[in-house]
Amino acid sequence: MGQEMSHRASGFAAAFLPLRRWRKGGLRAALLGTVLLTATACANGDNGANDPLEPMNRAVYKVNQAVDYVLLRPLAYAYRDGLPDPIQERIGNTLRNLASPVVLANDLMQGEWDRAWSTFMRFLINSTWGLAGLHDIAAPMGFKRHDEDFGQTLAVAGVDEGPYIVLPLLGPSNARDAVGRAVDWAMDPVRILAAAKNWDEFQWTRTGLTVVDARASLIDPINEIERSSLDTYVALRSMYRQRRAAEISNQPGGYGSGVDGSDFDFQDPPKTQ
Amino acid sequence: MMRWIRWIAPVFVVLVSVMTALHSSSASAADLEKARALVAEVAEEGVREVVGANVPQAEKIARFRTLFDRYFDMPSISRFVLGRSWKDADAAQQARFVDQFRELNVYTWARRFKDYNGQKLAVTGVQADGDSGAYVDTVVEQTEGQKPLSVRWRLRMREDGWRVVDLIVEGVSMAITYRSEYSAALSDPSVTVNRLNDLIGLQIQQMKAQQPS
Repeated sequence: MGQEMSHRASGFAAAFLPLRRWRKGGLRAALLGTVLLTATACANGDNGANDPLEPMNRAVYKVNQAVDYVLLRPLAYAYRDGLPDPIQERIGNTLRNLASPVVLANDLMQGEWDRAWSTFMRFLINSTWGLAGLHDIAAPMGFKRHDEDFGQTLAVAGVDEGPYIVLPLLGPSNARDAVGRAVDWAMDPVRILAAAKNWDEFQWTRTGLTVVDARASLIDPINEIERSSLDTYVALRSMYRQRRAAEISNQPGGYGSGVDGSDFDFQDPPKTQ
Repeated sequence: MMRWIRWIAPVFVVLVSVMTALHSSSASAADLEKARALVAEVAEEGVREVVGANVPQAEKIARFRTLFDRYFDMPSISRFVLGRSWKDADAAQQARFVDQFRELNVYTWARRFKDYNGQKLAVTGVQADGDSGAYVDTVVEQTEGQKPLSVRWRLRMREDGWRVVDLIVEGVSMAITYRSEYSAALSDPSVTVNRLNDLIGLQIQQMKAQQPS
């Protein structure tokens, strides 16, 4: 227990270390703004769904669905079914390798030294012997891939998720994770380098492929939700929240869902006819 | 003689308590082993009798329903997903909900039968969940090119053995997702459990119509 607390505290301290460098920029203001927004949202009381902006979110969700239907979904299908698997795998590897500096930064900010070491070694090995990330040869060496982002770092530091937000084009999120996305984008050294060198094609290609690759991996789950759900908006909201909680726990497969097992036990007999 | 008893008595007490502790922990280890065995059994039977069997889809569905009823505690899951509204419903509505919720699940899974292509399910671990619960962790192979899914089975001990109450796929609980959906639907004052039953009935009809033969 004590160890967990100190771990939490060091994660908290680490999460705010880089702020010293951002004093001149607007990021700190944005971060503080959202922390405050989160705090106010919490003060409004817990309604279970934690979705005070639901009417607006539903409107954005509708637009997103339309864009998805005409553009993203067809591209995702073409990518998944049109490209040979080895090519998809290499694209995925390269994208993840490019994203790993941000993962590393978040590992470090959370005080996850083992995971940070793993990410560091992955980046080193895959960028060189893995031919600029085309091949994930670090995984068979024991450096397994994991994801980490600033939304999770904030969560480890004790920041509440805040109200649910559907972001235009990006989809399900919440106040905390929306800030996390912005921070991850801002601190991404690959993006900063490419911007400095004016590698516009590189930037567009990377962003486009990242979106299509992510959507392609979600084809089956999203189809499933659309077919079996009474209200896909609510189903996605619930799933997003659960998924994030599992990711924050750093053991997606072993997450216990946050509900007590005895909630499935019912003592009183069912009503008789 | 008396001195000897005085010395041996505390040792005996410690010994007995240690043995009791060992016995109770080994009993729960045996239970966990049963939980693991049950999940392996569901998977094996599901492949042999349902998805891998060379029978028409209607027969697969019937077999799957039997399997589902035997290993899953549908009445408890139904009550869980309906939440507080369970108590608002009368006995007939409750019974209809339990029945329809099971059919919804049966037909949701039935659509995936045709995707089966020899994928394996491996049990990777088992752990206790409170006094009368267990988690059985499994990894399910997917169709080529996609990374395997981690599926955690949540079990509760019932009078006649373990029953599955939830599947947590990559951190997402099916029971909690259904509960969120139904509580959101029921938060609309015009939606009663009766109306919800009608809506689920429509869903089932649609799924039945889309069933491959």
